[in-house]
Amino acid sequence: MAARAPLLPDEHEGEWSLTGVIAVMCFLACLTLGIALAVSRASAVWSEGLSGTGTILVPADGLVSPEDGARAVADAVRRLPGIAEVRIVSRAESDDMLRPWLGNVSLDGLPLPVLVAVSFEGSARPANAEMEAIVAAASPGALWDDHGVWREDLQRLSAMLSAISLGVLVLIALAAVATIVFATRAGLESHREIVEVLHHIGARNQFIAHEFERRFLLLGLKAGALGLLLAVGVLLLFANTDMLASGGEFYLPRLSLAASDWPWLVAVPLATSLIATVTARLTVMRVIGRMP
Amino acid sequence: MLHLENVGMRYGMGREVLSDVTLTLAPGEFRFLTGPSGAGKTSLLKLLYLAERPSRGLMSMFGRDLALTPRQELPALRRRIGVVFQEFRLLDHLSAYENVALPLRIAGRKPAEYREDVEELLSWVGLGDRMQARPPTLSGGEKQRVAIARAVVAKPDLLLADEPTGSIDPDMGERLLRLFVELNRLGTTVLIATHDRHLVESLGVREWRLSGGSLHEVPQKGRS
Ligand SMILES: Nc1ncnc2c1ncn2[C@@H]1O[C@H](COP(=O)(O)OP(=O)(O)OP(=O)(O)O)[C@@H](O)[C@H]1O
Ligand SMILES: [Mg+2]
Repeated sequence: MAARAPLLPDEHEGEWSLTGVIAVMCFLACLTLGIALAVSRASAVWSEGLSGTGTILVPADGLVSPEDGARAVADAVRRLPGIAEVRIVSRAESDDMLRPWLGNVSLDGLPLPVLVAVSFEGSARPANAEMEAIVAAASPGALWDDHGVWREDLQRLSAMLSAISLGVLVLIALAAVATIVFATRAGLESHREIVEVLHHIGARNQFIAHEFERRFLLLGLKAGALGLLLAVGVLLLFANTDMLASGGEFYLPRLSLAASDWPWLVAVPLATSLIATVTARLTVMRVIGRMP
Repeated sequence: MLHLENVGMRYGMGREVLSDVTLTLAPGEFRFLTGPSGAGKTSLLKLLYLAERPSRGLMSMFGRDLALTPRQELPALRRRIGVVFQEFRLLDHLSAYENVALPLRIAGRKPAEYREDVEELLSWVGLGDRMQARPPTLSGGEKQRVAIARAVVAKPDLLLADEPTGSIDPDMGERLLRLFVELNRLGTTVLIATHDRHLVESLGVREWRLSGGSLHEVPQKGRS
């Protein structure tokens, strides 16, 4: 005789729709998690890039020409420790930066401020207050911007996205629990006769619950793997498509998966089957517990 | 073995289908339970196989007061009871063999240990060549024999049978009765609910009669 027949009959009709629903939930969970991970990594990279740089703005309203002011400032800054590069942004370059906002007009003769780009290396960089003082001393009216405002904005945005993803993940998990509770109840109802007979001939509640657990564990793994596969497909597509027609990685970092993201993504179907198994067990135990 | 005192039972909020039932079943006893249809035979057996709870009265079994027995200990008590359900209650997706082996499987026994016993028992009830058949493809009498085999396979301490010969011809009925008697000789206490006067009279064992929800001992004929 072959292996012992399962105590619950195989079900093909209901099982497929349930697998589909759980797979979709798992897909959404993986996608949410994948995007959250990519966004947080991208924002970390970007924020680090920003923290290694700063900009000096030499306004065109001083007594000296802004070009002279910029040269004085650059010389003063170059002597400081921890400076990697100091570069005066040329007039042609700054005109290029303005053109998208102002259109194709002549910028000649406009009193534009001159920008000096500064980048740091190592940890021995001067403090912001020191930079401010040195810059203002070298050219009265010149301002130091450490990109801190941007960085804070970016961090706030990234934290908000993380919180939203976490909320979405919790909602998906709750929906999955509710779905499985319904499905288990329906399964118990359609197998009521079997469950009752097992109960009456002395099967322990755990024994009966185990039959359901095994079924939902398999279902959770199957559906979870399906959802993960779909989500990974979408995430890879996302990472390999240049969505920014401007090629604008300068403004937005690329969203992509890293090797360290995989364990998290693989954890989703595992968590799904764990949720399915535990939910099925608790539901069955509660229902059987009410039998005389 | 089994003791009921002034037991009453009702389904939900309905009328009492059993009232003031008092009985004692001694270990090793063999009894019949008779009574007209609707008298409450099945209901009494349901109490005894712990599928229903009495709404009043005292009930003890295997030396334990059931009112004081925690729920999680009931399955172990149920496994000491073999039941032939009136409507068989076989699992349709399992073969006759798997159905009969069910109590052993539930008790955690290994297939290799019980396979021969199960096959031998199925042959004994005349189903040697129908072991792999599923209940929907069996005749009423065949199903009943599978149900009986399932009830006795684990050699229970108490056997409760509800109309075990209802769908069976007299010869097979006699054969199955011999199975019960044999089991009883090995120590199982037996209680059989039946309409079959012939069955009751052929053995000359004691009989309880249920009518209108109350139980009476039937005086035995031919005994002085
Ligand atoms: N699940 C139930 N819910 C409500 N009433 C029930 C239920 N089962 C049985 N009854 C009622 O209890 C009474 C006793 O029924 P029971 O099945 O115990 O009779 P019985 O003696 O076994 O009859 P039969 O010989 O026809 O099998 C009947 O009036 C029946 O209608
Ligand atoms: Mg009955």
